[in-house]
Amino acid sequence: MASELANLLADLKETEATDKVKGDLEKGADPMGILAEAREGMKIVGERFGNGDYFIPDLIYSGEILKEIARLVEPHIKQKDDQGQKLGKVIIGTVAGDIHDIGKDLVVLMLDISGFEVYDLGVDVPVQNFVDKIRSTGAGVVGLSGFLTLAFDAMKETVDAIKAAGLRDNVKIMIGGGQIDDEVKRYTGADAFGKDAMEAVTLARSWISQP
Amino acid sequence: MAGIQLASACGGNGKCLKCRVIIGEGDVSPLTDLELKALKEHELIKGHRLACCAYALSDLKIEVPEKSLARDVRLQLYGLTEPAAVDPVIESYDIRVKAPSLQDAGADMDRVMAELRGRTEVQDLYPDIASVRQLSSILRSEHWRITSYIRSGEILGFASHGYPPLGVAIDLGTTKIAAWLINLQTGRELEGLGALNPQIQYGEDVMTRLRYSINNHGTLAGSCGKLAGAVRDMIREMISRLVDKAGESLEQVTDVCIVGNTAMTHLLLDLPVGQLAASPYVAAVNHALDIKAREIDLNVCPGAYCHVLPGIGGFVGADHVAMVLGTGIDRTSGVTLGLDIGTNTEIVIRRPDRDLMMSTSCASGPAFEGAHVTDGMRAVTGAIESVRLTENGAECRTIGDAPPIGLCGSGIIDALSELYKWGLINERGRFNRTSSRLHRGEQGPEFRVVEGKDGEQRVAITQRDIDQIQLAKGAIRAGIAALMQETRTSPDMVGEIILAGAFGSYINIANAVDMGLLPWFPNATYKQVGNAAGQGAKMALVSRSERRRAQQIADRTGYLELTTHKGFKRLFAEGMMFR
Repeated sequence: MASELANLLADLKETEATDKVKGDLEKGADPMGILAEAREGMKIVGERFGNGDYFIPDLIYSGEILKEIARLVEPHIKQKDDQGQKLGKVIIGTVAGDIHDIGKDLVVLMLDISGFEVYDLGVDVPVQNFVDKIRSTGAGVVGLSGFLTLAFDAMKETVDAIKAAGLRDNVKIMIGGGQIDDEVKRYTGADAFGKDAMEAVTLARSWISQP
Repeated sequence: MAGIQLASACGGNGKCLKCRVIIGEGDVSPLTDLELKALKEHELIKGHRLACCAYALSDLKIEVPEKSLARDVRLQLYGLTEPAAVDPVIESYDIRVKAPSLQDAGADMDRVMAELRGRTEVQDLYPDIASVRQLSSILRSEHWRITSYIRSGEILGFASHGYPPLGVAIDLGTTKIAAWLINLQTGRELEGLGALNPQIQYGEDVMTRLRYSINNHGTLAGSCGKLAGAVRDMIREMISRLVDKAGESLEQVTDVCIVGNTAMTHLLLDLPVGQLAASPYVAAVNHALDIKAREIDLNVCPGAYCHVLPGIGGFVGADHVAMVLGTGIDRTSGVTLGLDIGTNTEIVIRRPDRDLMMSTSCASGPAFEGAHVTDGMRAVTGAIESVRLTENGAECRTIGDAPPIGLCGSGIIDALSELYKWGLINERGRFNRTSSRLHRGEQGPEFRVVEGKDGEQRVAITQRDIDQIQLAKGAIRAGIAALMQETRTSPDMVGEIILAGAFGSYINIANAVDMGLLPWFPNATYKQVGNAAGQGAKMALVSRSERRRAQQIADRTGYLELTTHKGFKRLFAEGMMFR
């Protein structure tokens, strides 16, 4: 049985969910526990998306609610522990020339609640930033997002730059957004593409659990 | 090449499967991976191929299924607004020149100019070089009686005595091109013509075309290459056909006025597009342009000009300015919202109380043109244009009353509105999977608008199709909501919603409001005005003052970049819902 907060979040009841968090915090509830419940709610959202009950707007709403809960809880967290072991590091960004962030943000959200340590580089990310971030974090997965057709070329350039930096064998690269398919994957030189945020999580899991 | 036009929505990229043909006899190139994936085994055995993937290796006999034929497109040529007052750009003078002799051996052009000086108030007459090249032979063949066309003192060219100057107004759309031949002295419309934009073969949407252009020709000026060539050829051909139909001559066409979105005008004029395709998406020029028609390969009056209306910002270009001009949104007395729904949807809001206009553009995608929708198609013969659900089925009306073969935009809107009303989809746009009225299709549950019995073509709506429409309407509604937030306009303030463009003119407004494509505003009246951009182009063609007004509209209208609007994400999510 999921907790009350998890269900409120899963049912996208924004006001009720945030009121519940406020009430719990006033009563001195454990902020880490609240976040765990919220994560549980997001897991249900992910399942509902997976089986076709939810669609993109529901993911967006749940993300907004989660953001609000995190904002409420934040001041109550005394010391940041790492909330346990993270699954692995993933770098995400919308490629150069493209400024669309909705899909990218959903991928960041779902990876985050699935237990990955996510580095969000934002939008219109210069090729070099991806290379630098791979070097500095040692992340094993890179996600390139792009909505515009022209992003295919920026994706290819990014993959090429990672290759030129000698880092291609250290990372698995996934692409997603807009009208991406197998053909585009081949063109860009990425390892895989995902149709939605849940597929991004599946891909990251499959790569990171591999030895 | 049998001259058969095949359907295509993806621009020959093996994506839309609409150009399917069946090979009868002859050799063709091996199956591509795309085809192996897209076509079913039994279809492959029967010889099904995609025309965009297969090449002929010998003479072929092929069968073109009816669904693969490109059909007559329903083009909206006629705007419903008032004609513009004429304030001519071109002066024309019928003149008689004395033939030269050894005693009076002045040059041909000098003789013409001497004659014209007595006729026009303009002091500084000067000839365009091409008009000089035209003059000597026409003077002699017409026995020294000709008509000369002048624009602000510049002599543009000549025609037979008594022939009025004509102009061509062109609405250069991403999908369609519309053109009109107009008498520049009276403002009277002589002929109209529509055609598909031939650039479609290089990509269905503007971004794909810009990408093609950049990848194949580079990012510098003068490098649009094939894309510019294709559309120039088409415009030249359309002008010829217009002139033929009207029984006039090309020499009379002394002015051309073109409107189009920023990408279309850039590709036509061979302007650099690299900076337009990537953030922050800036045009090479937004200001109106007057160029020689010959610079874009038009063979009309030798010195004729082509006027390109100004743009506003980003992809909000000359066609949007023309739409505002054509509908008079810039002069309304109440708060007005204007929409031109297409692959890109342009939206404008005017607040006369604050002397404010602001526009935006959103990527609504080609779903309403039938692309990315399983049984979607353009608004051509056989397309279901309206749908009504009944107790036990669906009643459809098709364009041309032909047997149904797919759904066009207005049909899709009707169908979704009805599915929602009948509780077959919920407010999230998800199918009610327990309903007995749904069928199990290859991609999960589907609603069959046409059952597909007795040899009929089955027409179904899948969950993925609904997703596509939701993404489109989410973008449009978010665009409207963001503009209203930015201009601090509340729903009750809006007095009029003006729907321009072919799509907006054919949809059932009540259904579009019910399924949430259009907002419901309590005090607003909804008005469908047809091709307002074309109307604006015609007005600017015949009138100097309308050209000035167009530049004012462009200068005074703010541009909102949606992706950076705070809260856009939530507006987008809300806009996708059915409520």
